[in-house]
Amino acid sequence: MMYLFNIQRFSTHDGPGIRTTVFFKGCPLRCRWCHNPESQSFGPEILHNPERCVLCGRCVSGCPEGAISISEGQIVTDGKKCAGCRICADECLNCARELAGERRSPLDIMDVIRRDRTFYDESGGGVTFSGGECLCFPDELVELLRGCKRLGIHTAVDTCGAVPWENIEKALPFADLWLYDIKCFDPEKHKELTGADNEIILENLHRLKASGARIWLRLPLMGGVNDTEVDMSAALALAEEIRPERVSLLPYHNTGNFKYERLGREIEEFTPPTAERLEEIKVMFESAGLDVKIGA
Amino acid sequence: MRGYTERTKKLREQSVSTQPHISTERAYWFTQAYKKYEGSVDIPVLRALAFKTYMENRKLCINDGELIVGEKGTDPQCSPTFPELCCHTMEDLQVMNDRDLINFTVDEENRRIHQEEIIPYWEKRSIREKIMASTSQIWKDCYAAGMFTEFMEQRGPGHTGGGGGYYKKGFSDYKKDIEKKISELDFAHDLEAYDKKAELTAMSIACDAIIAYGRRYSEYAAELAAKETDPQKKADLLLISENCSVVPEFAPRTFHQALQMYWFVHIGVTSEVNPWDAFTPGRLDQHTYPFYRADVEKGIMNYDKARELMECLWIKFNNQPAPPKVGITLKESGTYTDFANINTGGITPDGKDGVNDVSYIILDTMDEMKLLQPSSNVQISRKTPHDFIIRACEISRKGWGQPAFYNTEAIIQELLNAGKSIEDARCGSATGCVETGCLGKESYVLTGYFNTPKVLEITLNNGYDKYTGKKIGLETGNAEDYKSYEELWGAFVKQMNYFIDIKIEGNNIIEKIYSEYMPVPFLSVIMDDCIEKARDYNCGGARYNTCYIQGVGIGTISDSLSAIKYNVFDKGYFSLEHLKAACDADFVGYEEIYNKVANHSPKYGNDDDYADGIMQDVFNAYYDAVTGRPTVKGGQYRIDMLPTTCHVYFGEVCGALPNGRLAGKPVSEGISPEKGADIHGPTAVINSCAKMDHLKTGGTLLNQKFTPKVVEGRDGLENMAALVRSYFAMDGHHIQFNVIDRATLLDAQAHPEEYKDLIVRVAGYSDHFRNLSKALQDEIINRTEQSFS
Repeated sequence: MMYLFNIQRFSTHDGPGIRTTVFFKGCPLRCRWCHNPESQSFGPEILHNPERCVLCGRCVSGCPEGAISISEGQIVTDGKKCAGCRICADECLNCARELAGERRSPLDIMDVIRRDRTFYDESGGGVTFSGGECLCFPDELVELLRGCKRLGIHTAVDTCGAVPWENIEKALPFADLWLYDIKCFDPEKHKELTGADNEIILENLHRLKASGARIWLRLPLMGGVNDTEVDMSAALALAEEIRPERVSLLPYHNTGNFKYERLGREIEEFTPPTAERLEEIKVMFESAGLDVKIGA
Repeated sequence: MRGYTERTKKLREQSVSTQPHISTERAYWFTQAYKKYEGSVDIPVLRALAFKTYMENRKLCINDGELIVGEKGTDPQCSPTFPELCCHTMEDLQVMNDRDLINFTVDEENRRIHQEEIIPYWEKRSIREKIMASTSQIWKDCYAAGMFTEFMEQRGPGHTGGGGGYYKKGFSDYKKDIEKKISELDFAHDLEAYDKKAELTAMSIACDAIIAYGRRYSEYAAELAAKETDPQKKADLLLISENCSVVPEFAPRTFHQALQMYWFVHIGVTSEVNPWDAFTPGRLDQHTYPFYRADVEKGIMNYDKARELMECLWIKFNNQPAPPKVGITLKESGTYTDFANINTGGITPDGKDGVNDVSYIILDTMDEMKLLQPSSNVQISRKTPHDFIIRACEISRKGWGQPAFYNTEAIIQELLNAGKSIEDARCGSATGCVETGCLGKESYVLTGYFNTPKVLEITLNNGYDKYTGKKIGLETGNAEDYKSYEELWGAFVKQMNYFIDIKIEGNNIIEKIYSEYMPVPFLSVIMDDCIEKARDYNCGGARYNTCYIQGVGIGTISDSLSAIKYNVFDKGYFSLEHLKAACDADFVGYEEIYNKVANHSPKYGNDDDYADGIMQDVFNAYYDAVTGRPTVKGGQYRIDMLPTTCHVYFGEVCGALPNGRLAGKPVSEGISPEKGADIHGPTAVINSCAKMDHLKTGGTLLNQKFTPKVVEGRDGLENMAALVRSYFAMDGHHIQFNVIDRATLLDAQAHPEEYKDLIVRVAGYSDHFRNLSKALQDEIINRTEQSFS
């Protein structure tokens, strides 16, 4: 079952121009710094904001599944029982509850996408499919990509690459641009940081390159974690081989921390690379004749 | 200090550091003339003689170092008064002097003159008195209830802009045209010949007045030059003297003279009467470019010189605060800004791209000067070069609201739709706030704001107004009587038509009073076709005559109707009676209802067809109620959607509304969504706003607030330009930006002394944040801030 956790309009950091980014819910990786933790699981989830909650119990009595209870002065939601109906969010008088994970048909998503066509045209923008991992849903994704192409809308696929090659292959004819994330080069460290091996990711990247796709390489950077000399020389070697149209350095930010709290999950703190380190990395890629951008 | 040269740095500093004050000089000379001539000459001639008396006797002012001369008052930041429009009481003067915001110093001597000379003559005979004596009780009740405001209660009609005529003709040339017209009058066959002669005679006297004023400046500058020992200053004064010996009597010959010509016209128009606070050169870049080009080719002009002159002109605008207002008129327009709105860019009369070198000089000047006045904008057409819109965005993202962006193609279509010729439409502009008109050819008069959310409040209360405790509307039924949304909608439209009728009934009286008692022969000289028709501008002399009624609160009213339709009639969550009770209680004790209407109802500004469809219904009903109705001057009514500061006042007179907007809070401004209602970003806002048929209006106003991060870097600039281009591709009329974060505004509110220079966009204009009322500051702080994820 495919769920979205957001459709972001006026998205300006996921590809060129003004874009609409469609966020699919569910991801094969569990990056420890993920700033969209609600994107990881494949089912609906409730984000509960305790700062707004007055423990009135309207959500508890309103929930048809009996998934919500008050325990030790706190609202507890049983994710297994929650059916994602949103009734608790609607009932809450203080907007303390928000549903992440909505089922929407490709046609319905196309209705939102097509609304901003003028903005794509004027800005050289388009649509980015992201996640989670949009390539976990290749059939739906292809339907959407094809829908965009019919309307002449530029498409980008933002992927972590940890999917079977067949999934990528299906999307290939309809994607104008690939935003390809590489989290880490050392296989062991990759596993430790994201919960999965990076072999398939690197392999898919090479196959993607061989297919002639346009690629932007995106490197999320955590200070002292994956921005070391060793990491970056491996990144540079790969970039020189792939020759992406752009290398985006994405320094860590903690603006997603509040979502961990609202999902009732533990937060792990990271730090971004220092400004000096970031500049060093940028210069390193630039010296190899690559187009580098910090931020997007 | 800001300024391209030392000269303009000093002049700007003088302009921004001087406290606004009042002079009774104009009132004194007008009163003397009225005493001398009233009853012995026709009214147009009386007005012209009063104008001439003033222009011949007023003090002259040449500020140290300035290159363009003439002040509306006696010196910078000095406002004259217009007792024939509104004769202030001594108490009014005290209030103006003492109030915290928009104050004007009134010194002892001016108070004495006002008390001894002005009040005794004018107190019972000003236009304001005539209006109050002539309008009906129901009009007065609606006015007091804040159902609408009245623009001409303290100010004359006008605020239009000049065309290109006076760059090609001097006033001695205009005078020849007028004399010829008089000689052709046929008293045997033309039954209006007598009136025409009076008007033409008045126009001729008005030409004499402005010529005399220019000559006086020429002589005065020569006198000062003779005494001056500093060689540079002496040369400057001699240049001023020479320029003023040419303009306004003859057509300008140089770029410098062209700017001085405009400025004399500006002073003439705004001295004759208070034409809704200001006048504007309109298409300054296109009008003055031929002079600039010729001077450059002659080797007597270059960018630096032109830039300095342009900055001198900019400072002249800033030296003129809007004349002081009192009462409701102060509330609807609580600002020093005089709305002299200059249009840069656009297209030429023959349909080519209008951007030229002077356009860029204007943008550079605007950027450097960072002054509230003139209220500068750019017109963007499909033909506008990318560099130009990027340069405009670069200035706009600095955050203080200038330039605003107007859609040339929309303006042209709006004007064609109102029956103008294509050439006249291409010379169209947005002036004042956002109003569309044909420069130099049209009298387009704003008559007052209309409080659309209040119509619903009155409807839900069966015609009764909670604010004044009076029945001012129709008895269309109580809340419990409405069985369907359609029934309620029918009642709402009925009430709206009823109040528009009352507004227009008042307008018809007021317009007649102006055409009778307040002719403006000087303005008539320069407006096509007043000389040709031998009719005054205020009497239908202009080629086109339009009256606007400006709708306010479309976001609030659309969301209120949407909340009712969705919760009461579609979902049946609660009854209309119950919702009305919640509004009466300001939602205290009705938290569940509040949650539904405020947080879980369709809202305008999210590209949601449910709410946006209701916006279209309200817009169309308002359009139908107003558009096409005849005006006294032989023109037609049209609508505008803009508020100045009136959305704050209209909010004060409304209780809580069904969309969850609490009692007394401002209603939505322009066509912007209700604050905080739009949660899907700027493209959704723009799509929602574009569902309104802008081309059927004479102007709409959309504010967008961005955090600085959204528009940073080259990409940010390109995205900003793309937003503007997209909105315009969808026929949007106007968009303007505040680029500032909430934290800065909150800090500025807490520490005004540290933010003396902070300028923000309000509605169709920018203002110093510290000069805004607390309610308006809060309103701006609470506007939805567009950021990105």
